[in-house]
Amino acid sequence: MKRTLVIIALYFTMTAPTGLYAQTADADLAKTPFSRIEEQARGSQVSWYMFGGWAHVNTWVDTYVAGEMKTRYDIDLVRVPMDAGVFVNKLLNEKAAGKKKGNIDLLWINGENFKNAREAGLLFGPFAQKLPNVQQVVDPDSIAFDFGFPVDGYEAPYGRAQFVFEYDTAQIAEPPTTMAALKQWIHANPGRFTYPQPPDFTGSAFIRQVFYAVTGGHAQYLAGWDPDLFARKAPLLWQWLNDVEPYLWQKGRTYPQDSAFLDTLFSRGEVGLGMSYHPPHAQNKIIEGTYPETVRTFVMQDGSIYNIHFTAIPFNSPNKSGAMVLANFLISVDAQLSKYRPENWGDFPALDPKRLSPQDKRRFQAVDLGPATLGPEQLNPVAVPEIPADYLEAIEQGWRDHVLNE
Amino acid sequence: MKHLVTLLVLAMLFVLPVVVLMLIGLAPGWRFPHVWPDEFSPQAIAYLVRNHERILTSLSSSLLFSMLTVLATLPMCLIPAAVFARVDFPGKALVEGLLLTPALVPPMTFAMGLHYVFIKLSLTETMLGVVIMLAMFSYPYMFRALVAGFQSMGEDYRMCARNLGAGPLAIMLKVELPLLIPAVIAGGSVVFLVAFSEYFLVFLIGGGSVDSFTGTLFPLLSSSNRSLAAVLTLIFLFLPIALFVIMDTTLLRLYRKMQMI
Repeated sequence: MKRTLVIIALYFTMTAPTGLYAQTADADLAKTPFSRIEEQARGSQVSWYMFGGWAHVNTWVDTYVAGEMKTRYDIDLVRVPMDAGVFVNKLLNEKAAGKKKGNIDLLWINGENFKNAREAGLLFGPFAQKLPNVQQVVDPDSIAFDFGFPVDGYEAPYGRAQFVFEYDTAQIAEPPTTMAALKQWIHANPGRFTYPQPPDFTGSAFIRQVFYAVTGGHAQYLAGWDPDLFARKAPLLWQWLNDVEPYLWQKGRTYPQDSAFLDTLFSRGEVGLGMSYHPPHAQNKIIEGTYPETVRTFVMQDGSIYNIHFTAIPFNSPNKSGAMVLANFLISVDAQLSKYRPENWGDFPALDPKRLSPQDKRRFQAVDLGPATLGPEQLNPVAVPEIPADYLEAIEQGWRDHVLNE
Repeated sequence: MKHLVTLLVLAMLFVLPVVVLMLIGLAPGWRFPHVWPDEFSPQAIAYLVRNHERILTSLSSSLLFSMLTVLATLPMCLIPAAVFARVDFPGKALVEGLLLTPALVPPMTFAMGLHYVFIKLSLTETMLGVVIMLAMFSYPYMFRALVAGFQSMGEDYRMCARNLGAGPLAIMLKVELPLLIPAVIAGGSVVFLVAFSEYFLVFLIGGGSVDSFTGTLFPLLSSSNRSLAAVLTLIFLFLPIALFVIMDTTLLRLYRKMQMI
């Protein structure tokens, strides 16, 4: 009995102070100047958990980012491929089990995964305003919300994506550039169009774009979740989708399970139009050899959704200083520029062009995006923001009930 | 002639898909009207060469934990299997059914609850934790094979050995285990394959700290880079086959030495 008590007492003396220490360390970190944080991080290891499905992005992180982190900060970067849904689950379990020292330092995250992680208290922060590059080259308004959910400095921006469509100029002369024209096109070309089935990221975004286009624009939804408004507007969306359904690929009896499947259908020429949430997607696929060189990109004139993707730090990251140094480097002019080059990745910068020095601005303008990627001058005028996450979930649920099983 | 037809059917089923995979691996732009790809590109091979270190590390890690899982399931199942093969007791069917559940329940359900327990026990992010988790999930295959092995062996050898004065340990090690080798190989192969191709469990318990080949492969499979996916799938296919060939030849030699065949 006595021995058990001693063991229990020992256990608490051993665990309690570390818990306290971790908290004070986090609070201290918020007060520490960034130059000190950089010093602390020197010689450490940072584990970055991110989507691993793009070979070219993996290569960019393993070569450019890892190399620069080593030479600039003497930090060893470890890239771990893991889907956002999986690491959020992992962190949820770790939080529930009280695990104070995890093994993830930085996450690549946004949208509903960020909302879920934030609501469950899985993230460390706020830290974004501390990063010198965020202070200098990022427009604070552009990173205030992530899918309508307040960011509050719990994420640092990393890149910008916008929804584009793809077509093969060897097959189609004039692609439809409004949702109304798309509907006509689908009716005129039965079996030549389809979209990935939600909750696939791309398919879900396509439906949101239809939603904006057929219900009178995005502005009305940005104030937050309004069930009455949704109940009034949603039938227009189901109507549009059901109108085209019999004319889709496989007569709409089935949908591609994910965007990779749609890419494959498009690359084989089974469908005439492709789509992606990443403007350089077609160019990447051409470089990779999967798409014919005649593929080009276009946007819908009645709105093309964009979003910012971010990095965040988990509550139990063992190396928060290192994670902040990496997040800061990723939003630096150099990294954003390297990321912008299509041979590396082609992801659009999350920087504010107005805050750049004329010299840096020219460096960005000098990047040749390749013939298949649209430039900011075509993308920016039609860009519309993402819908709040509650609408997203309601649309995905409603699609199952009203379109798939109807 | 009869064999020729069988061979043709087998070749259609097993060789043709591999040939298609090889072609896709070399020709990312191979599409419908072309029966033969009109353009080849080494991009998938180039990725492989560039990342050979990471791929080899993850492969060896996968091999290691799959082998350890096989080694762990054998002692786990040996005695229960002997009991189930030899003794009849009330409720046997029910207990046997319960013992087989891990193979039937989806790994996702199985793992989420256990993850919490494993965190509490500090077993997450360790090779040991991954092996324990995989062993708990895949032992039924070993168990079934061993029960069948014990049944087909019968009681006679054991009786005989006991009559000649062997103790229980000597019987197990010198008589029964050598006779069970075919069953162990059969069960072990399935356990190995299950462990080697498991993605979610390794990911959740290993937390990204324990490398696995599936962890590298699966994200790339869900992208539309078909060439790379095809090349990695070929590696995934080749490795267990190579392992079985090695095992088969060593066993054959072993049996010859023991003069069992």
